Amino acid sequence: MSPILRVQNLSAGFGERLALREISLQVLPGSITALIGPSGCGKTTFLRCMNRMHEEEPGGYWTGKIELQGLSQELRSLSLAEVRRRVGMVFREPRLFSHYSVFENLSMGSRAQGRDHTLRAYEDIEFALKKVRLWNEFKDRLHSSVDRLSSGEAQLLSLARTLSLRPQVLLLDEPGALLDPIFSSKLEEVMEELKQEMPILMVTHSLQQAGRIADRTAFFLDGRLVEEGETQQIFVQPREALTEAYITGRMG
Amino acid sequence: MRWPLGISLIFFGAVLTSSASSVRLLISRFESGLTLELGALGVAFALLGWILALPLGVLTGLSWSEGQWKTRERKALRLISEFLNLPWLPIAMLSWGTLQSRESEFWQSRLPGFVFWVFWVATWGRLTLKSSRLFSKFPSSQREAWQALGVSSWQIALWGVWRESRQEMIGVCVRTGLRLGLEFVFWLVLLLLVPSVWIQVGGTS
Repeated sequence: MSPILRVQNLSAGFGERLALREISLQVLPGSITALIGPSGCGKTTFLRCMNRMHEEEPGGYWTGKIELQGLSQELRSLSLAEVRRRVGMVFREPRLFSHYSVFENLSMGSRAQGRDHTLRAYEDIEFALKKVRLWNEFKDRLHSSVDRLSSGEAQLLSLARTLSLRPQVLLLDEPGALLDPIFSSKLEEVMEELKQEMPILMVTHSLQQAGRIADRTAFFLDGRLVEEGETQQIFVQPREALTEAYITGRMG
Repeated sequence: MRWPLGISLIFFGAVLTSSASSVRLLISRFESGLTLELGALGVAFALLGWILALPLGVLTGLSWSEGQWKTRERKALRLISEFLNLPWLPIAMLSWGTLQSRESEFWQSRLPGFVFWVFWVATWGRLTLKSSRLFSKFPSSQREAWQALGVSSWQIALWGVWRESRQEMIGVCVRTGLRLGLEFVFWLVLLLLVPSVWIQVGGTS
């Protein structure tokens, strides 16, 4: 099975501070890959390199090779707009555009990508809302404001906004961190369905969540990838002592 | 008192006292109808500056707030902006008058343009700085959300900032416009009144 995303010898940093060292990883189709590790280990930096958000941070740079399936050129050679269309990202907090309606929020990606035809925008929005199971709730109030939504609804709408661009890969940065158990569970169900169409790379601090939904898990420590493999293997029979120490809570 | 203002006042004073005769010439120029032409030129340049300054300022602010500019560059921008904030218009006008008194054909033909070019730069500089300051306050989390959708920096500048902070931006434009307009009128009045008093005093003595 050929990977959707292939990362080779990725190093990244901020100015003189190196945050990632020589990471190589493959993201397989139909999979959820969880990136785990203590705070500051580089997992979010890694995630942000995948859609080139990292290089837009102060002093941010990266070296190495990132390849996306179906493209003859590396990610570095693509325009940022193209990268962001192909590699969607959802943040820890919803980050909806306040003062805008549900429709405007969800069509923003299409508009930004120059696909601002109303019919196409409606198609994209319906597709995205159905994917996150919010179509019935919002189909009759697409033009209402997003300012009074619950954090769970807002996060699912953020996911829908990203999905409206129909990305090849989905990046999730602690997507359930601020959600109650009901929405967290709903999000996980949505992710399980989505992974069939686009592989998901997810940063999480919850080992339980990684254990529940991730097919593969990568453990980061001090900017290095210590170990990566099937989640079952990582949690039950880790190859590295450091991984075992982290999983069993004996680290630090 | 801020140092640019102090320096410019000293400069202005020095030029004013040392060029009484040139001021007389300047007035005669105004009286001959040149004021209208210069005024029209000034308004045209100021409008051009206005149109150019806002988007450029927002983009400058964007690169600033994204940390693409180092502290040294920020200081340099600050210095340039202070430099642009000097009351260049009266200084240049008086210098023009001084040079005119020497009856130099070269300067006589080129200085009116120079005067209003300087005024335009000052206008542009102020608006650029103000709009870049405004943009640097745009929340980074919102900017990232735009970026993640593939919205480019200039699109964020044109849509995002406008949609998120349009009221504040209109306020900046109105305030800056008023200030520039008032300053322009103030310096013109000063340039007309002070020399006329000077002439009157000189005439009676």
